[in-house]
Amino acid sequence: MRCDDVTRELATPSGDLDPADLAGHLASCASCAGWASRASDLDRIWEATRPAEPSADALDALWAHASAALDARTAPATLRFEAPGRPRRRAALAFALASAAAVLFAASALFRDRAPDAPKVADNQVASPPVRATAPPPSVVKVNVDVDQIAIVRIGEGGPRVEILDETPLFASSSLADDTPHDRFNAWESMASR
Amino acid sequence: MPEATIRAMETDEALVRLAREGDRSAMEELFRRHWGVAYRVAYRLLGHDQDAQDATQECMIKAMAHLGDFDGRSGFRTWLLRIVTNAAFDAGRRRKRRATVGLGSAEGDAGGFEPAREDDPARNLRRQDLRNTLDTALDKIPPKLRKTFVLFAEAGLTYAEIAEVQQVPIGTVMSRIYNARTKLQSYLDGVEGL
Ligand SMILES: [Zn+2]
Repeated sequence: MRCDDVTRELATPSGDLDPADLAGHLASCASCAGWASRASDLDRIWEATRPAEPSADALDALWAHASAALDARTAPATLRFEAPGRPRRRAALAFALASAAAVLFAASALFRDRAPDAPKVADNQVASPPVRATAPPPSVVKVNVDVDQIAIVRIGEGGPRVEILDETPLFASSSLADDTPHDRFNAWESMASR
Repeated sequence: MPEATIRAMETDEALVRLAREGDRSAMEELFRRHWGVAYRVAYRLLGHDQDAQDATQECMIKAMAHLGDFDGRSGFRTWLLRIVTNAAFDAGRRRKRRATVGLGSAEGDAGGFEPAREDDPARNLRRQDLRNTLDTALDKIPPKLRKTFVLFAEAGLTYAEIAEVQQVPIGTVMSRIYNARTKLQSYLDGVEGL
């Protein structure tokens, strides 16, 4: 039995090695026994540092926030068939601006006394209360205009600026493959950092 | 039987089907059922509680809003964790850059929703030390290994599920887990009092 096979079996159990043979090897091989000892150290520290999960009350608040955000998302969809082409886009854009204004108004009211902090992207938190009372107000607001479009509203000294961006389909298998660049999130990241 | 109890007995697949038809209580059950594991994975990847909470909430809302994109080839949890791992990876890079330019800070972090699971301050301090030690070690290993190991050790995904999340063969998953563990163990080796 090779040491490499033993440590691999310990790290990623496959059942291919006979447990009795494995135990026998560990009893007679100082190198593998040391590896197993370090493995149990790691397991212990991993367990000891596992974060606490939200309480039922915290989950209630999180769901209330999510539910409100989802309601806000579905609102623009009703605009889809009201008028084709540009009017629809204008209506959606008006909604985006109104939504952004609502977010910013609520945020500035909540955080009036706080110093400005790093730019933050708020995602359709139009009708929902903030989950974090300590968050800074957003200076960049992202609003879904349509299924494949988002509006980015940036608040600067010269007032709000709106930008409509087309999006690729969300969370399609290929777009989130581990070995591909995460263009969608990278795009948000670059927006947030501007 | 209360509706919540009935919902809790449904499989993820049944809940997804209902949620896609507009059943908000089915969506709520999915949200409540999976928020915790999504948060723990985000926490292990980000090493920062508040960032992990933000990333988790954002991903949960996006996942719920885009259930139509879920093709059902994998389980709901697998699909969700793919979203979380990719988003957390990018959020981590964003946070690193914030810290680099001095707009954010890596201040002490409670690491969970409960204030503390111990009344003994020394034990809390000890847990924080362990958390910092482990986070430092996790930070040193390549992102692909870190993601793979977290999905295995924290989320308890099978090799096949991780292969689905990461779009790589199962053998690659097992190698990554082994390599991640070996590196983590070597970084933690010699740390006093493990
Ligand atoms: Zn050996």
